[in-house]
Amino acid sequence: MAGKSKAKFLVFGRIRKSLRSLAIAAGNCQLRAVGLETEALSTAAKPRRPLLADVIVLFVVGSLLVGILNVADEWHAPFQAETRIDLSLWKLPQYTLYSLARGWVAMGLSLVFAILYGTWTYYDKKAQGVLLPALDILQSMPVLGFMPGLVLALVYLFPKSNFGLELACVLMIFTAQVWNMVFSYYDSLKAVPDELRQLGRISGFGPVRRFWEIELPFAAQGLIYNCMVSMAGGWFFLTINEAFTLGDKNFQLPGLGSYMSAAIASGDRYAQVAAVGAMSLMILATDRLVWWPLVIWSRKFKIEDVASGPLETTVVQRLFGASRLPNAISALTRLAGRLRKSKTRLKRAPLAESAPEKMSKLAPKVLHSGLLAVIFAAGGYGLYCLVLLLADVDLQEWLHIFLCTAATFLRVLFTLIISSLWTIPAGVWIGLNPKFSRYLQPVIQFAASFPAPMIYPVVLGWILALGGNLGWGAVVLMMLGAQWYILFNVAAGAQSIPADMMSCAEVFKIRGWARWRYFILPAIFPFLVTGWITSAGGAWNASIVAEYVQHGGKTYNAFGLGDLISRATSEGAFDVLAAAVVVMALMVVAINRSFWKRLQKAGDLFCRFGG
Amino acid sequence: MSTQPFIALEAVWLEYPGEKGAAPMIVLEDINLQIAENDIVSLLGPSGCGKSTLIRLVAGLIKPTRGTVKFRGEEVEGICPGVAMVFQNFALFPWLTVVGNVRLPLKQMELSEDEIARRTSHSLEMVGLNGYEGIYPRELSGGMKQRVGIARALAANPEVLCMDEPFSALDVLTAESLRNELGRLCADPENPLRTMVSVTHNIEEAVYLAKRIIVLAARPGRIAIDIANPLPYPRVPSSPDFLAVVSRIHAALTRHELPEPASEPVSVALAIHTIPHASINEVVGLASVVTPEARNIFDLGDELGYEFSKLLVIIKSAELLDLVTTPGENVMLTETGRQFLAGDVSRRREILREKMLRLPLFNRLAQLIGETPDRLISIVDFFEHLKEWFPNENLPELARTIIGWGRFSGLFVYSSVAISLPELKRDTEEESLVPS
Repeated sequence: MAGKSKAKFLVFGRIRKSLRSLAIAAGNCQLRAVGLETEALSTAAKPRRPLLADVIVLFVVGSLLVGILNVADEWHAPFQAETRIDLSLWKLPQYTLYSLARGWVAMGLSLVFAILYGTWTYYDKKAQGVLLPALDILQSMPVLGFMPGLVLALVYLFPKSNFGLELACVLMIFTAQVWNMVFSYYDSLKAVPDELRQLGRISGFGPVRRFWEIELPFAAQGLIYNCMVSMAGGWFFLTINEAFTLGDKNFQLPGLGSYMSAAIASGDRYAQVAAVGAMSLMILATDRLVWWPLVIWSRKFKIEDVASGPLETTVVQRLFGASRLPNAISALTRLAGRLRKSKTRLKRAPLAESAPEKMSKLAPKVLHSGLLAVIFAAGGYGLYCLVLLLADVDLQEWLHIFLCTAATFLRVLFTLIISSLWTIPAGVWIGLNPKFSRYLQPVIQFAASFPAPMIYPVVLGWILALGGNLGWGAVVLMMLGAQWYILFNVAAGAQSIPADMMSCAEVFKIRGWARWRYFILPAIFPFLVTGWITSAGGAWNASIVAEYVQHGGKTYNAFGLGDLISRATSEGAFDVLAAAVVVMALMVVAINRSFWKRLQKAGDLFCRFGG
Repeated sequence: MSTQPFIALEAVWLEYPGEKGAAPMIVLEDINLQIAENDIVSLLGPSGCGKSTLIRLVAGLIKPTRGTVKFRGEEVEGICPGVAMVFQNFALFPWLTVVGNVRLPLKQMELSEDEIARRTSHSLEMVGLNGYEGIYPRELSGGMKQRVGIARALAANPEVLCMDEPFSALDVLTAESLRNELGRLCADPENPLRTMVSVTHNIEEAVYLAKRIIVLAARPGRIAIDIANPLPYPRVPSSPDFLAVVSRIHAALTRHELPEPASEPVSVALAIHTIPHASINEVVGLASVVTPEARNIFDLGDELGYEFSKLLVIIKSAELLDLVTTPGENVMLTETGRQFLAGDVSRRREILREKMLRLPLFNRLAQLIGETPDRLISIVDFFEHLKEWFPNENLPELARTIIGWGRFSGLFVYSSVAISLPELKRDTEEESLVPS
């Protein structure tokens, strides 16, 4: 019956409709009669809620518009390798806006890339063998590995305007954001239930329809969560993405990262504090105003309980619910939707029959082989260039690289050990005390998404004042960014311990060390391993900024691979840079494959509850 | 027989604090319960009546908000001494072998290695698990896992064994075989363990195992009926005596859950009563299997394979909607029910709407929504009202039931953020949601 399929479509809803319902979330006009549009648009609607909400919404929308224009100006500006950064406070909002815009453009690119790459990897079983391992390696590649190529190529492509440099910066942020999103999307595609795919086939969905109606809604939750994590990852290298030295050239773009760099270089304490404050504000605002509502909204795509249930409302929903503006917007979109639909209805009938079938089958094939050829060619050429570059590295330099790798390896190891010492008990405590975790969660989440390199120079100052050196201090710096992943995962692990298991340990009086050894540690083990993997990856990457820090007008180095990469970049020694980056990526992949994956397997086998 | 109060719950209340000044939610209300040594007690009741909470109070896993729990006359601080527990979902440590699981509690008890080994092998033997020692739980079936759970509890030589729905995660036949063995244990004079408290929702199980059956009522949880079960062990479920006890409990439950109306209720309209948490689909389903002739509720439950207490909730709902009536232990279709079944979809919804509007809860809600300028209230406001009316209710569940009923009958339109009253042109909106 028509009613049944109707219900199904309602359940898996279309993303457009859902977006609309987000705007009207607190529900002023949901599911009401057609008469609504005129009513909502007219001023006759009763003023139910305070004017303040309208003002705030107007203000937000207005400042967004101004911001977009401002950013566009900057991107169009004539090329300028090194913008002078004005350290006065009133320039800070503008710089923050620039950085924010870069982050979001990169996020948009990441989203598109993740969906395309994920789709391709999933549907093209042949290419999968190459695409998946490639992803693994790309993921472990430090950002600086991409930088020289990107910057030089794009500045060369757009010699006249700032666009090239801006794009290079955006792409560097992109390389820090995109990989886990690809994995998430690919995993979601793999997890789409067969019934849904069959429903799509029976209903005659093409690839596009399938994407909008089935795949994207299904992947939404994971994707949004990963976007959130990625955004934080993207900020991590902001200070070097916006201000860096490449060979004999200095590049600097106006932004929060370069502001911080300049503030550090000039030793301006107030500006440093202001930059940290602006960064914090930016993170908090994005989190509250964008991610949080999105995460809650995306819960509707949870397949298990699509029917109904208690819902949380967010500040944004309340705000929009209180304001009448969204009503008008939603009415407009609805009107537009209706217009568009009547158009497609008109178009559809004659089109269906006349489409030449052969063409439609052949075209994708040609496109597909063409695409493959292009990518293989590009990849092959890249590899060839890489080999040429690496051939320049002599034996002594290789030896040096390996010694550096060993040093950084030890630092990563110590980072993990020292981090674990405090994060495991703390994480378990947080996970087992839901009352406190509710208050602590936002604090920790903020600490984790704050780009630690921004405060490296400050922390290094303290370390030096305490009589330390960067050799050991780098471990502390690496911990600043890496420890949170362990904390998060341990807390999640402790939280997931079934209540019955907790009661069991209590009833049978399993206490003290036995409780840790036989109960808690094995119970959180799979989560702990995941935390370690992420932390280790983060620590390797962070070594680039942690082993090479500028502080008080001086550059401090610690012998290690990260230092080597940073110095090779600023000295323009691209052969050494390439070799070091490749070694780092291979190192991370090799350790993952040979060690972590096995540990993970053992944990999954022995330490999962239920089943 | 010893009459010394072994475990005593005195005026025990358990409340969860309400949010932001709301009245606290009462989980257990004024529980007075004395369990003598050698007593085998079954706590029986519908889901949500707090029976699992009650057994956790006995074990000392939860502290009561008010009142005291005493063990051998002394107030219990923390875990009740001499208690062991069997859990519904086994609660085995997946990283330990069968032996490892059984030994783990023993290792905490300052026993010699020999004693640990002796107890472990003895308890494994008692549940028929010898030969399985080195195996990990994931390699065992559910029934075998629960045997490990029982062996672990027995090895600790407890004075009281608490069991929280020990068989409900198992399939019927496996549960039967384990129940059988537990019954044998109860009857075994060699077995030192004489005191057991178990939680179940299965009446036969309670009658099979327990010397005393305590029936709890829900919302808030309280003791409704306390019945002694003097049948001698071993018990035979098919014997007439056994069946007689079962039907006595059935009768008591029905009297309690579906009381005969003393007189025609007149003043009901003023008080807003909650509704039983039954899915409307099940209510409609029930109406279509009930006949105009009176049928025994328990026979019906057996026939449908429904758990008794769950069936009662559905019958209660159907009765509220005037689809069925329940004279004595029977259930039969009403005139409205007959019309309902004869009608087509829209007629059925109409009848439901009409009957629902007679219930004060729906009536008041519809009135509230109708009074708003948009004929719509947000979920947040909806919850606020419910909280005000039913401070002791499980709100999300109640909300789901109300929305389920309202939506099914077309009384309300629900859109995940708001509840509104339907309007005549509603179809236009629905059409726009359907892909063309």
